[in-house]
Amino acid sequence: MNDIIIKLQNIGKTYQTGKISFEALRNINLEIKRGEYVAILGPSGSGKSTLMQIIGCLSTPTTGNYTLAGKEVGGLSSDELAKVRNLYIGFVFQKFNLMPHLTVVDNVALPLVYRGVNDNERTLLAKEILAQLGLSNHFEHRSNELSGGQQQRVAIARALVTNPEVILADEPTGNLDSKSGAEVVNLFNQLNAQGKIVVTITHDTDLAKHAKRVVEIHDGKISN
Amino acid sequence: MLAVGEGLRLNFATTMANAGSNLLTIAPGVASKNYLGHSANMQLKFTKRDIKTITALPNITSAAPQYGFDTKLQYYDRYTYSNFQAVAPEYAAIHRIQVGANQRFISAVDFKERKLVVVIGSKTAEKLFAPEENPVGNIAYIENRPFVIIGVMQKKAQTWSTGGMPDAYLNFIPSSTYELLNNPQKIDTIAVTYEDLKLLPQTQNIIQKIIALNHGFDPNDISILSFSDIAKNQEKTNKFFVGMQIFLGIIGGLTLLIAGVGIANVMYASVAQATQQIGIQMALGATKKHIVSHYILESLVATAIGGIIGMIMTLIFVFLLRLIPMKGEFFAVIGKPEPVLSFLVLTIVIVVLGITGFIAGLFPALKAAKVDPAEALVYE
Ligand SMILES: Nc1ncnc2c1ncn2[C@@H]1O[C@H](COP(=O)(O)OP(=O)(O)OP(=O)(O)O)[C@@H](O)[C@H]1O
Ligand SMILES: [Mg+2]
Repeated sequence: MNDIIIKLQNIGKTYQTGKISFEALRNINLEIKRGEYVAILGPSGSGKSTLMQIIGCLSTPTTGNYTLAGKEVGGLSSDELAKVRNLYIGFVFQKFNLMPHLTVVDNVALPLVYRGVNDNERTLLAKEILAQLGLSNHFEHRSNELSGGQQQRVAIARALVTNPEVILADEPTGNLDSKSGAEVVNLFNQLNAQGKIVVTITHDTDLAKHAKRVVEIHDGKISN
Repeated sequence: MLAVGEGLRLNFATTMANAGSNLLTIAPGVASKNYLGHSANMQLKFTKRDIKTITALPNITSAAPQYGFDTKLQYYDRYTYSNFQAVAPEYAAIHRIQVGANQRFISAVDFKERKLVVVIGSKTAEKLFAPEENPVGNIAYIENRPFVIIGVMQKKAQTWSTGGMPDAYLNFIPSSTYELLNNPQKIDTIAVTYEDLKLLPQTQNIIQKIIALNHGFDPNDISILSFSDIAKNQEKTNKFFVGMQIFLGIIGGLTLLIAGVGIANVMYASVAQATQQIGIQMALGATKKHIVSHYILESLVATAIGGIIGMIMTLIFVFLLRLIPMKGEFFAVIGKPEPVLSFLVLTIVIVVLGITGFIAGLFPALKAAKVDPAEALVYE
């Protein structure tokens, strides 16, 4: 079994806005193995989010090859990419990105809807994971009734409910106070200890310190 | 809207059914050209022999002579001038004429014994009798001969009859009685009933030839007879009402179109507003199919709610319309339009609403499916 889950080869990404083209990423080579905890560190505008979108199959690179869990991702249709995301990636965003009109349980169960899991089983799995994250008292709340730290934990529960290989987090503590931030960092450590790949993207060197491996990015290039 | 149209049409269909549909009335005409000693413009006169010949033809179930005349009907010092038809007992069945309880139309016995009996129209009854008086059993005079009133036709809305006048204005006596009293030299019209509407053109053709033969007229001269066929008239009127319903339907359709555009607009706005949420759903693994079906469903729900409100308003409207008193000769003739929500109309409305909701949701949904998750999530 191949332990390299994420394999980026000569990845480049060029944004085209009208006649102006902007090279956000160039010549990125990166391999991430099973069980790794990687922080991608770089200043604002360096291309971190762009890289995260490519790793998370939210967008496709302009050049280069990306292999996820042994499968070439380039050339997949948008629906095929959606399935790949659903299977392999759990996203955690800076602004939590919960669905405001859904309850906590329904938010967490949402990725399972797209997997075709039935209603009862979805609720069961969602409640189980929420309980593990200490959110048993908030099943039926709406997301805007929760604190930032709680919302981010709901988002992490949603990322974990499909039991994905990779947790991909873009500035997960960016909107949190230091205490809630520390809780999230703890959670990531635990998840990594359980064998998940954790990739956090940040401009915060303190947060990056928690990762076992730091990849620095400047002007769209890996610099270390 | 459609309900009103359907109501009018159904009402008319029943009105027309009242006239009796397998009935053909034959009136004599004049020769159009010279033929074997008969000169053009010679008037054809039906005889008893014609009745017999017609009765013997295929597809014909009965043929009866009919005479029409206008005269005075007198009851004590009250009188009215009215139209009378001298007919056979079958006339009632053919025209679905009904008389009140304990009354009768001209019976086989009346006919056979050439009794002096009369069935009066409801309008005639109104003119000769006070509402509380029972006309039946009284004696009224036609041309100084005493006729017993045996029945009053029940009021029914009818638009077309052989006499060209609604039955409510007509009065009936047995044709045998008329023949006895007046010894008529000619029969005015022949009422024929037939079995199969499809064979009617052939039947008419044969009647035309055989009558010509009876009288030595040119068998190819079509102007010697004129046929009036209730089924055909009914078809025409029905077409008119279908047309009217199409018109009402178009208005309804336009309303639906406007509603559909409205829903589509709202849906577009909600898609635009939900771009980020759509991005999130896609990041979590929603495919285009998931997104499209979500928005179409939302649109269908919106349409269904609108449809139910519309339906309730229609029911109220229909109810109110029925409360409006509609009186007068016009409504006596065409029948009071009672809007009905027929099952058919309801089904059509539901199907059309479904399609409207689907289409109104489809385009916004397709737009939603085109959302690029990367871009949607960047602009947090
Ligand atoms: N859709 C886009 N179209 C055009 N240019 C873009 C697009 N997305 C990002 N960029 C540009 O690419 C560069 C890298 O953007 P990216 O969002 O990856 O940076 P980042 O490292 O995540 O920055 P931040 O820390 O501010 O989030 C920026 O200069 C940005 O303006
Ligand atoms: Mg960023």
